[in-house]
Amino acid sequence: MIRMMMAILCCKTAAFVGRLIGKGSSMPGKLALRICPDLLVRLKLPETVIAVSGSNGKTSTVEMIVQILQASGKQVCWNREGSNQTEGVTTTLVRNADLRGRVRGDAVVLESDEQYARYTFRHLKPTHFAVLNLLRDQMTRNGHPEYILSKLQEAVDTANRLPGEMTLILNGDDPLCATLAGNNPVIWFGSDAPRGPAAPAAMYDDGLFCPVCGGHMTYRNRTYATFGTFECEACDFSRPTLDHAITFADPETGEITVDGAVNLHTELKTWYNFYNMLAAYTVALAAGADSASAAMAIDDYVFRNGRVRSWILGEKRLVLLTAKHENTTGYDQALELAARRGGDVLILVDAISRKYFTGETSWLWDINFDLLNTPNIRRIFLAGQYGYDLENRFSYTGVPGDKIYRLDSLSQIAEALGSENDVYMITCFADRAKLLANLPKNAEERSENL
Amino acid sequence: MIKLYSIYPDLLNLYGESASLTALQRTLLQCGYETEIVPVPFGETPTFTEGGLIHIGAGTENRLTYGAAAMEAWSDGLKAAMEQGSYLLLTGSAAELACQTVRHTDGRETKGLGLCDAVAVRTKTRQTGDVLYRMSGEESLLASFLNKSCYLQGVDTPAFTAILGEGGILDSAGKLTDWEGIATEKMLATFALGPLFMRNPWLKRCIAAKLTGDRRILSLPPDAADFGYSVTVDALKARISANSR
Repeated sequence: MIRMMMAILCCKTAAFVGRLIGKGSSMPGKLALRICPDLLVRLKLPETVIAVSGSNGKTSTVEMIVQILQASGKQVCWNREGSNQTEGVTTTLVRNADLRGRVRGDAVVLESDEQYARYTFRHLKPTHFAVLNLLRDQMTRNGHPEYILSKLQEAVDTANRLPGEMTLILNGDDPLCATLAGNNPVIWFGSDAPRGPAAPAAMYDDGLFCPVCGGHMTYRNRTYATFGTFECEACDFSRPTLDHAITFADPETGEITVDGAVNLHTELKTWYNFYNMLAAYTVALAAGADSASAAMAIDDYVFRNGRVRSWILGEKRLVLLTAKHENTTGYDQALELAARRGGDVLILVDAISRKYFTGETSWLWDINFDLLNTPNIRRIFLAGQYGYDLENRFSYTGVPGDKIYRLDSLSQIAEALGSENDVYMITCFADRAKLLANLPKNAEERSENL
Repeated sequence: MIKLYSIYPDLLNLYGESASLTALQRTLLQCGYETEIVPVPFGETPTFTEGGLIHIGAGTENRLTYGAAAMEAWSDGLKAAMEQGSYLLLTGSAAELACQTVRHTDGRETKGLGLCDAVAVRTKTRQTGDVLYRMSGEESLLASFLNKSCYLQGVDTPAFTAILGEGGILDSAGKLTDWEGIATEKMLATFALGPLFMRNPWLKRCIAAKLTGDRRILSLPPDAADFGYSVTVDALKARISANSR
């Protein structure tokens, strides 16, 4: 008990100091776990503990789940900074706990790193574990989606060794996610909106072969990435029957309908976001929220996580789309959005990851930059340390060379943004601050939908 | 016509490796050589013509195993093509296919293509990281990264020496050395990724010169890929300095 109290006190102090200096979402937790290694087991958690994992969309989906639960009158403890490994989770829980280890609130919602969930779940069993998708992401660290699947399977198996029940909430449209269901109760979400069997335009197709037997897979409906109504030609592996489904979706208008009855709208008109909204809705209902409140909470939701921001500059708009370079599906969606809306595009690659050094740029060849080969896109500016790599990459697209401008330094960004066209600025978390530091001084940020 | 065969690009296509053939094709076309990239989808049997290059790229561990099983049906044809002058390039995790045997972590053994006497030893943990490799006889360094769960053992003719990051070859006692890859007159097998030829234009030009016998290719003027390569090599060299402090 004393050890636990010491750990909590040290963690709270470190977290307080960390917040003053703008750092320290993981260090306080690390310190606490050093003092009391079984701290997570000793904490008294609320009845509902939701963990959300997957390759794409964790932060946005967690934010929406929290929004729904708060709108339902629940007090929620969540890792809003996105620090999602064991130490970060510990920091979050301890900051919201008293000295006796009781975590305040009606629910805990945790973004959980897909590689590290297996460690966190040694000590903490969620009541609900949502896996949004398994796609190529940070290949330098994560290998490939099948490898991450094996780590998530380990996480599920590890959690199942602890007492209590855990319901899995899985993307039934994702063939890899669909293999995770074992003996746990499962709630499936996905899309029944008709789209046709054609694979989305991408540089690769990871949905061609069955993850169970290696046989060829076919799709009746295909939404994006590997998602859709899949069926293996060689074994009986196929898309499960969904519990919650997108029954209508229009990426032009941003209208979606869930379960044939719940109508939603979003300005972030990508299938990526449609799935995130559906996942948040499904998880929140599983956690006890009602359908009407859930819908109201996320209808036209404006994200506060800073990934999508916009400014007015004279008569035009600057839009920041933060996309992890190494997450090609998410990046493709950002390119699609820019291509649909039209204008100029600025792509900044100066650092590849904010968490570790790497010079790895193979993901450039997995991203479909030909999505910008449209009359809608007037000019493309390439900036950052990897400007030459970007220039080389674009030389292999159909985008005419006279539309492409490589900037020699970040200080040229303000000038590049000064044309009459709207500009879509695409960069990663590591480079976002550099981009923002080079925006024209007279750009006015707006807190609004796109 | 120089044919560049892309084996199972639908099955084995991690880390953008198929772009290496696109890069090679561009260089050959620039020098006036007619080329064709010939994709061989999974399940089909390739018919190799004389000369040219055959590429097998990185895949997941499961897909490599499926791929290797299918390749057994035409591996004699591959060996014959190599005898007649075709050059084989294995990149990323596909490097294990050069071996006689692949030893899995559960004790199983499956066949590789048997192009050398080495053994591929799969591991439970993953080896990842940026690397800089030196190739004997070459001034330029190979800038790349690793992402694999495998080592090679029993390699007689390693391709590279690691000066940053890991090697990929175990000695007879199972200890990791600084050596990496397999290089012969007819083959280069390396766990290094990039895409290899996009990231390392000098290596692309070496292979292009080898395929054509045209050494003028080695003196092509630099382009954006070369400038990007310099930025990367400088950054990786700085890591060596940082690590040694």
